[in-house]
Amino acid sequence: MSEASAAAIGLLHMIYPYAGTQQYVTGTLAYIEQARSSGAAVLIAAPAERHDALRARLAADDAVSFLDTTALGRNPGRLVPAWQNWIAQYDDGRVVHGVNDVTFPSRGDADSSDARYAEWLLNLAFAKAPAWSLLCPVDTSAHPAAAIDALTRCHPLVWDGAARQPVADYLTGPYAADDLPEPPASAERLTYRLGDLPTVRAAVARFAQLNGLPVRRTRELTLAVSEVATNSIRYGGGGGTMLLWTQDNALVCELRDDGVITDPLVGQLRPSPTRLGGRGLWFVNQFCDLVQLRSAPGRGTRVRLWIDPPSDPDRTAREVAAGLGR
Amino acid sequence: MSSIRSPIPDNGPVTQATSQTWELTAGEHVCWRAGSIHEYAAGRDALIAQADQQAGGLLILDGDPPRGVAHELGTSHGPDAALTAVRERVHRARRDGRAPWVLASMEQLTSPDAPVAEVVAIELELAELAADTRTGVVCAYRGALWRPAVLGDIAPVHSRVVGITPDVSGFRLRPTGAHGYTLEGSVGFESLRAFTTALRGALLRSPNLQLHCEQLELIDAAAWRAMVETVAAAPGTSVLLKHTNETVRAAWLMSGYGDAGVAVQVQP
Repeated sequence: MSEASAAAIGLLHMIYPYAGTQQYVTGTLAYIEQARSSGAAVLIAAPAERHDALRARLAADDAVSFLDTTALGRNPGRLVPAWQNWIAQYDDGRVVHGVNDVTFPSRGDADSSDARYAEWLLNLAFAKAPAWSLLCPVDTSAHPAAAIDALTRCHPLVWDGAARQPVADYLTGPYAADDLPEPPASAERLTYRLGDLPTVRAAVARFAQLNGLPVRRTRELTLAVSEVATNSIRYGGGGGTMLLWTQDNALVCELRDDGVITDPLVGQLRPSPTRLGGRGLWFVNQFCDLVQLRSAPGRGTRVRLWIDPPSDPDRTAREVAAGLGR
Repeated sequence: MSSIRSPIPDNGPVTQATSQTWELTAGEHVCWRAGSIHEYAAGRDALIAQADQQAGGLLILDGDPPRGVAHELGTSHGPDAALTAVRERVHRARRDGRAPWVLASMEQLTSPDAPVAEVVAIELELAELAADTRTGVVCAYRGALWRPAVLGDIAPVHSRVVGITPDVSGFRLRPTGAHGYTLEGSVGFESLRAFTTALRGALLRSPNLQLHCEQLELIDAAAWRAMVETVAAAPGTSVLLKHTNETVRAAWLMSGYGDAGVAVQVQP
């Protein structure tokens, strides 16, 4: 019996700390072979360069599929819906065993907490899903030990290369994200209420254009900001404050209000087509390269949106075409 | 009471009559927010002068006694009859080689207490007249008589708004002749009620509504929901958005509403 099929429901989510390519291949193949022997479907989400290393060691059959993660983009907030989409392709009764070899480009301390949060949210998002399992390889030589420890605590299980073990200090929640560093004093600042939404959009569009963002990305950022500002107006006390600045060539927009967001999965799950509403922050996650949300009673809500400089002008169109945004 | 003012017979120079700072052009459907009865009267005189010079006279629906060479159009049978008479007058004038503009005092055509949907229905009728005949149409609202919310809700079905209060509408939804409607600008949460009202009105006139979206920037999540709900609430209607940009299409795909069988289509 496979690891996942032993579970009646939900996700068996395991981290696989490895050192070097050889250990990566050996341990990942062991996981894949266990899955194949149980008749499961295997989905490997990994950069294209990893495919060859694994494919060369695997028998050719239709039980193993490779996914190119390039189109996943830079936002860890797209990890949950990506796996939602990928496992939904298997409706033939087979249990899915995934390999989540996805590395989001780091901005240093600015987003490491958010990348871990995306991993932690997988446990929540798939807690009531049909049984499946996910192996998350992580290269211990590429990260400090403390970062590996923190990431491990976001997984309930650890893979040792041959079998899974429980993580003793697994973080059951709630997840405490790192505080966001303060914006620079030079950040452009604008307060807003309902009638100011056109002004907010105009300010963001002007900021984006001044910083060389192409027209389409400018529209996407404008829509994203408008959605967050709308949330401030509807749920955050009727208004908020927007700050705009650039950091490491990225455009950063932060919106603050007095509301509190209590649902950790807000904007993370693809909405059901028949459910009305609940799409604002979903749009935001699809259009931005990083979304950092901090919310707590007494402290209000801060949503920081990042848009990276244009390196791939067709990115969003390709992601939507690939179904990642749906 | 309504009147039609014939054009000045010669083509001599015309003095701009008042302090009015805006001018009408053919095919426009303008919302004019007048500050007072005096401002309205002065603006009306200016418009008469402009229409005499640039168009084939001005057809006035405002209840004031007609001045000069004029023709009364009865309004006792309500706005529908008045609008039909105006349309006939415009078409007849065009057959005679003239292209009169139209000035409608909305307090006379309807009431400030009327439901917004009724006001929008009249506005869309006048907007179609402007689009179909390429005539200029001005809908005058005396600002003190109308609730600001109503003025905000009817603004987006006009080409533009002039007068005492600034227009903050993020979008425009208006007929553009026989080929459907245009949707322009950004449809955001702040104009959700106006958008829903305009969409309902447009669907009543054109149940299989085609929206030309070349100048549409974006539609936010709340507005997509409003569109889906509005179409679903009116069985047999549909909306086709054409010539949309990539952001509008991406947001529609991300919304997933299309997978629920809603009668809304979004095309490049």
